[in-house]
Amino acid sequence: MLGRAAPARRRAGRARTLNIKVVKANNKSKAVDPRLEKLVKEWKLSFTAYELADEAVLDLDIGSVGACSSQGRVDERPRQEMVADGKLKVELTIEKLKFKATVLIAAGATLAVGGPAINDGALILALTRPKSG
Amino acid sequence: MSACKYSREWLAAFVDGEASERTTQTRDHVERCRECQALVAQWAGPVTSCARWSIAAWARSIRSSPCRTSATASRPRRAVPSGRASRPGGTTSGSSIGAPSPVRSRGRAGGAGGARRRLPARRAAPSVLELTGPAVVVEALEVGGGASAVVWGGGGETSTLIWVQPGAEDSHEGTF
Repeated sequence: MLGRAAPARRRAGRARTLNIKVVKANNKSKAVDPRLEKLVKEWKLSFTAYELADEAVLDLDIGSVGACSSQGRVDERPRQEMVADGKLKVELTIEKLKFKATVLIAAGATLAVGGPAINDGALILALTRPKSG
Repeated sequence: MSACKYSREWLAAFVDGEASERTTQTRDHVERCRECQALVAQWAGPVTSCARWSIAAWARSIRSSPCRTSATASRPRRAVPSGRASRPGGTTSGSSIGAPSPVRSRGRAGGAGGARRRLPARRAAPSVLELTGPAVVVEALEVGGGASAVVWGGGGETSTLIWVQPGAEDSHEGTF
């Protein structure tokens, strides 16, 4: 179960928030979840239907590891600094895809990773850093 | 059938705290509209279940890592030209799911293609792979198992997409 992480640390100004969305995309219909419309417009993929399959909010202290386990666990490590221009450095690992990326995400920006096929469609994982996060 | 015609996109942005200038307007509407109150409550509530291919399997770990501030700031970056990426799915050939076709890197990407690179499997050279956009910078990217990846974004967008095409030896159908 993934729940919304405790907001107290966010209010304390130490934690950084990532909104995580798992999206199922296909061409079986033209239904787009309204919560995904903004992202879908930017992705410009040829899929016609986008379903929000799962979502979570992950609050990470700088330097912490947020393992998206079934317990929604967040391991904390000593706090570090952000990059100079305010972007948050995030390391994302998807073992089954043998995928590993290091990205800098500005406030309000989204990194999406897509590709795995499912039910004549594809899965897309979107990490959004809120403007205020 | 929904009776309220208030923009669902604005409502979603409101829930995500990204409604910007429409925050006040949307809040006022939600306070008056029971239907939208229910939607907001539904969307803002905790996620209580995960499908078996859910985030847990997707993202083994998401790490907010220590940053090398000076190195990152001083390292020369290969700027990605501005411009909106072309419709990637529309260029697909040989794919049944509308995935974007990998394109080979030819130095600086340009024109309507925007910031697209084909990144060889198991390539990890942060100083080379740094793709710069206004909102998201891909410093390093590794894909294995014969997979390939396409990165596009930049060009004034706030969203950057990495599309991973699993290798022939890997089959992840339904397992994510």
